[in-house]
Amino acid sequence: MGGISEALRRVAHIPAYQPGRASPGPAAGKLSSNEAPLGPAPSVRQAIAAAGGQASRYPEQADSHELIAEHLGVPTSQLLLTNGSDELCYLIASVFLGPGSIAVLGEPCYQIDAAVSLLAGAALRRVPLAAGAHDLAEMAKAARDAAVVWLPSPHNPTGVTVDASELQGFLEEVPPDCLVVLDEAYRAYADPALRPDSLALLRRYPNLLIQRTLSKDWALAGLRVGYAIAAERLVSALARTRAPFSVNSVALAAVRAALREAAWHDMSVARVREERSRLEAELARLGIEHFPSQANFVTARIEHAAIAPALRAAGLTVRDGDDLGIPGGVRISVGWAPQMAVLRGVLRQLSSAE
Amino acid sequence: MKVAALLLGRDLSLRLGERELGEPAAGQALVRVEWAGVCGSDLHVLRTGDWVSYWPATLGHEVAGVVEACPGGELAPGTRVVVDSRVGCGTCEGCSRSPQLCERLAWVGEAFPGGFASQLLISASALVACPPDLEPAIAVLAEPLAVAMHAAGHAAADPGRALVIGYGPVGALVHLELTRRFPRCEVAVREPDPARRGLAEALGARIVPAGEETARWPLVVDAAGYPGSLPDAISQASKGGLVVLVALGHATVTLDPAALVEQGLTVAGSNGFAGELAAAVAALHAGPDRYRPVVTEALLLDEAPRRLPELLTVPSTGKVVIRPWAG
Repeated sequence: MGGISEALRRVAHIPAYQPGRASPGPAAGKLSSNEAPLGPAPSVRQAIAAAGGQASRYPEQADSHELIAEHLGVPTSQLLLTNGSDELCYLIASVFLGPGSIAVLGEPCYQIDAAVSLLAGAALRRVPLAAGAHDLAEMAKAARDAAVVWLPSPHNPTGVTVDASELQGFLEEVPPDCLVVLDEAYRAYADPALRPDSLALLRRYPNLLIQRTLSKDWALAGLRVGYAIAAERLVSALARTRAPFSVNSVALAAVRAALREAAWHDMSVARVREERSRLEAELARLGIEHFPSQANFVTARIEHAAIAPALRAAGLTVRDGDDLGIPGGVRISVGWAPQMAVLRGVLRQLSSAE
Repeated sequence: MKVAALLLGRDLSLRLGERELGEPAAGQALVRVEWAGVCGSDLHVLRTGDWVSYWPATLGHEVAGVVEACPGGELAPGTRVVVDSRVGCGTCEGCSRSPQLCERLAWVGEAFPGGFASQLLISASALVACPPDLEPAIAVLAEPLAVAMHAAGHAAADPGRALVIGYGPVGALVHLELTRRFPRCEVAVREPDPARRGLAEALGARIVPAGEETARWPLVVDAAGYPGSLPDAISQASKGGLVVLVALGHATVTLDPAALVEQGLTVAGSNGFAGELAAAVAALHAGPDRYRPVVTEALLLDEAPRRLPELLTVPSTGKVVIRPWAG
C-alpha cells in the first residue's frame, strides 16, 4: 500500500510543463509564452521594487483582495486570490476531482487542466475542438456524469472564443452539480462584443467558476497572481485548501499599483489587438492557415522545424505546436510592434522559399 | 554596391527600389540599417519635396544599425551605432559652435541617402557607438530623444508644472525627458487625437481637456506646430514662463509683442540637438522599457511605400519605425 514506488507510478504519466523559451540577444524576442510585450506600468515597477523592503513580513492580502473585488464589482466573499491561476487549477482539482471522477476538456486542451485532473486521479473525457473552438454541444453531453468541465475561452492553444449565447445554452445543459471552470485568462484581448457577461452568468449558474489571471493583460506573469470568482460556498471550499500566504507580498503590492493604471492597461491591450490584426492579415495574405484568435497569440499551420532556425537568427522564438497538442503548428505570441515586423519578414522569407 | 532603398521621386512618388552606394572611403563607414524612424520632417518632405538636394531621395535620419565596414578603423565592424543626423557645412561660424547652428544646416537623407535603405554610407564621425546589449528598436529612438532632451534642456531648473502641446513622438519624448530630469514635475498634455491621449495618460501625463484654459504653466512646449500653436502656447504660459518651440510650424501667426513683455516670457526655438545624442543613448540603455511604448508601429521596407503616405492624413499614435531587412 502506498510508498514511494506507488506514488511515482501514479504521477509517471503526467507530463512535465514545458515553459516557452526566450531567444538570446538584444532583440529579446520571446514570442512563446503569451506575455505582455510592454510589461507593467512604470509605477508598478516602482511598487515592486519598493515592496522588497517588506520581505521579512508575511503577506497581507486584505487590501489587494478588496481592491480586485471592487474592480470587478463582486463581493469579497466570492473572490479567491491564488498564486497564478495555475494554483487555482490545482485547488479545483484537489477539491472537486478525485479517483473515479470525470473531468471534461477540449482536445487539445490547456495542459495544466489535464495534468491537475490526472494528478487528482480523475479520468479525462476529451472532446475534440471544432475549428479550434469548443464543441459545446458535445461537451454538454460529456458533462452529464462529470465532476468538472475545464473551459478556457478564449481557448489556449487556439485563441478561439466560445460564442456567448452558446455558452448560456451550454450552462443550461450541464448538471448543476458539475463545476464549469470558465478560464478567462485572455478575456481582455477579445473583441468586447464577443466577451460573455460572465458575472451575470455566475449569478444565474452557481456551478460556474470564473478563472482569471493578472499574468496577461496586467503584465504580472513573473509574480504569479490569479483569482477565482464563484459562489461563496465554492470560494470557501477552495480557500480552506489553499496554502496560507500563497500570493506573496511583492505580488500583492504590484496588484495594488497595477489596478490604478487603467490607462496603461488599456493602451497595452489595444497595441496587442492591433498587432494581432496585422499578423492575421499577413498570415491570410500568405495563405497560411490559422485559427481566428481573440487572445494575445495566433496559432498557425507552420512546421516549427521549418521556421525556428530563421526566427532564431532574427532573435525570435515561438511555441512549437507539438508541445501544445497542435502538431504541425506554432503558437505565436503577439509581441511589440518591431518584433512583429521582424516576424512578418521571416514569414515572407519562408513563404517565398517554398 | 546596390542596396535596397525607398526612393522618393521629384514627383513625390515613393517606391521601393535599388540605389548605388559607393564603397566607404577613409573616414566613412558602411552601416547596415537595423531600424530607421519616421520623423515628422520626413513626412513634410513626402508632402512638399522641401530641403532635398538630390533625386531620387532616400530619406531617414533616425537610424540604428551595425557597422559593416569602416576603412579608417574609427569603429570596429559589428559595432552597433546610431546616426548623428545633422549635416553641417563645417566652415561657418555656427558650425564652430555646434553643428545644429550651421548657417546651411542639412540633414541625413535630405543631403545624401539616408536610413530608409538596407545600408547607409556616412562619415564615421557622425556615428555614436551604443552598448552592444541596447535593443536596436530602442536605439532608433536616440535621435528624436536627443531632440527632446535639447528642448527640455531649455528649462534650467524644475518648472514644477509643464504643459506639452501635441503628443506625437516628440511630444511623448519631451514628456518622458521632463519627468526623467525632473521626477516631481507635473506634466500635462493637450492633444486632440484619442489614441495619442491614451498614450499620454498611460505614460503618466494629465490630459488637459480642450477649452480648459484656467491653469497657466511655467513651461509650455509646443510639440504640435499647428497653425496658431505658438499663440496658443504663449497664452498658456504663466508670468515669467518659458515657451519652447520644438515642432516645425509653417503658418504665419500674429503675436502681440506687448503681451510677451508684460508676461515676461521667454520664447525659445529648439532645433535638433547639440551634444545630447550620447546622453540619449545612455538614457535608452538605462531604461528601455520606459521608452518602449513610444514605438507604436513597425514596417518592413516594402510596406512603407503604401503606409507612409497614409500618415500624411492620419497621423500615427507614436513613432513609426522601418525595418529594411526581412530577417
